[in-house]
Amino acid sequence: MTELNDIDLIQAAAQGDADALMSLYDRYNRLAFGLAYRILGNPSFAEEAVQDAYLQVWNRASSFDVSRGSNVRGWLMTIVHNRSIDIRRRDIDHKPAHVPLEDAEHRLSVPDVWRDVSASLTQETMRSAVATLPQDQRRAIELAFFEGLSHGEIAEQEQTPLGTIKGRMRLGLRKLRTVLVDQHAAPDGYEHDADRGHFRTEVG
Amino acid sequence: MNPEDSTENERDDMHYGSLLGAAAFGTLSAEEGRELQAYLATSEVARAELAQLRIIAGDLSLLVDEREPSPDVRRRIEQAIMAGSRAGRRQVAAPLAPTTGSGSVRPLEISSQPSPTPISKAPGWRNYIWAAAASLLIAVLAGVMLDRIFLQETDDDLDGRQTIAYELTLPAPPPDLSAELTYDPDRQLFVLETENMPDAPEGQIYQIWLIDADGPTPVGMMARNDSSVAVAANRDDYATFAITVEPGPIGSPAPTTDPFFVAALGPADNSG
Repeated sequence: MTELNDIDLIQAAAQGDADALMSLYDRYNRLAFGLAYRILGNPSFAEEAVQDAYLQVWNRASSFDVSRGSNVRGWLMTIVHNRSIDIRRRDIDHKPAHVPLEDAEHRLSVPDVWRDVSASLTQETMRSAVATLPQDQRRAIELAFFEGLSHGEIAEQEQTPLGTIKGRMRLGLRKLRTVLVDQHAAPDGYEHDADRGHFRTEVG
Repeated sequence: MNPEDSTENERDDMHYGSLLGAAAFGTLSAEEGRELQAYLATSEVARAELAQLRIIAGDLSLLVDEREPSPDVRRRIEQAIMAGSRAGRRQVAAPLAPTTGSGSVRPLEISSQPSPTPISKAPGWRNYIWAAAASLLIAVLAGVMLDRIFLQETDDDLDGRQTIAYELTLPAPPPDLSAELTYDPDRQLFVLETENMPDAPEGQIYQIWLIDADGPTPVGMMARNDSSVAVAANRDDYATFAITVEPGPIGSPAPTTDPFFVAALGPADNSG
């Protein structure tokens, strides 16, 4: 039997197909648990985060919009990440929760190239892309993503001006975007210029 | 556009643009979030950049090493889903003292620390919740009966598990409505079962919230034909369970209406 893809599964889950959700669980539980464990450092908390996240997916499956340019794995991992950070700040660091921006306010169509890039990423490509970042940008991104620190908290921890940290986070993500698009889109002899949105031919 | 306007716009672009990285990670403070939200409404460029940065930030999960969770996680998720879809089945509740966990239920008190307020949350909503919960406690202490649905069933459930029953209060309960909110400490699972629950108004849904000192967390929804719903969560982490009516089909990120149901997740209801 042909294996259903992620989009088929999330759409089936949105129709109340529990088996479809569990197929998504079987497909991504190791990545989800790895992410939660990396953030929380505690298997019980990590399991709570994964469980909560999948139940959120179950309850919100109908809100997944294929046209948004996200992929199911990325959406799912974002939910696992957010839940893990909530638990970390509440139960481990005892800090107030962050406030997510309303998703509905900036549901935009993302260019097709991004849909393809994100859906095709592997651990290897992501790691090699992150390795290209300057150390200070990499550090700022890791502290924000894996430890859930705000830019103010990172600035304090790193004893670096707030504006510098803001810049490192944004620039680091933008550079990652550029590198990943280049890695994904460049056929032999071509390089995709992500910031300008066009291809240029490598000469010579 | 005159030069002063142009300079001001550039300043805005720089200021708010500098928040986009943190916004992609979801680590903005409440004030920053409100500011950026307003700015995003005016800048398609900023919205597009944020959308892209969010995708990249989400894909950073690929950096971690995969790990195998306990098989219990899969089982608990399946159980929660199945419990939530058992429409119409009566759950028999047993009011018992808490039997697992730390046994220390978070008291109903307003944190002395300022906590961020979710964007676009109805300003008086949180106060309403606390007031409702406080009113419930006062009423119980004073022996005053509120309009409420009272749980009186005391058996173990069909699986032999012991569950804890909670009292639900409604500002104005519809006639014939009955409802039970129970919690299974072993499975860390809330189950709400209702009979004669009125349909949410057309285009709207019932959205479920668990509330702690930092505010409400959306944990699920009830579709129009649902009579029961399950929510997997650790009761010790929350002070209040509530349901509001929100725009369908996806609900709201924060409550926008007064609660339809409220249950204070205090000690188990032993009053049968």
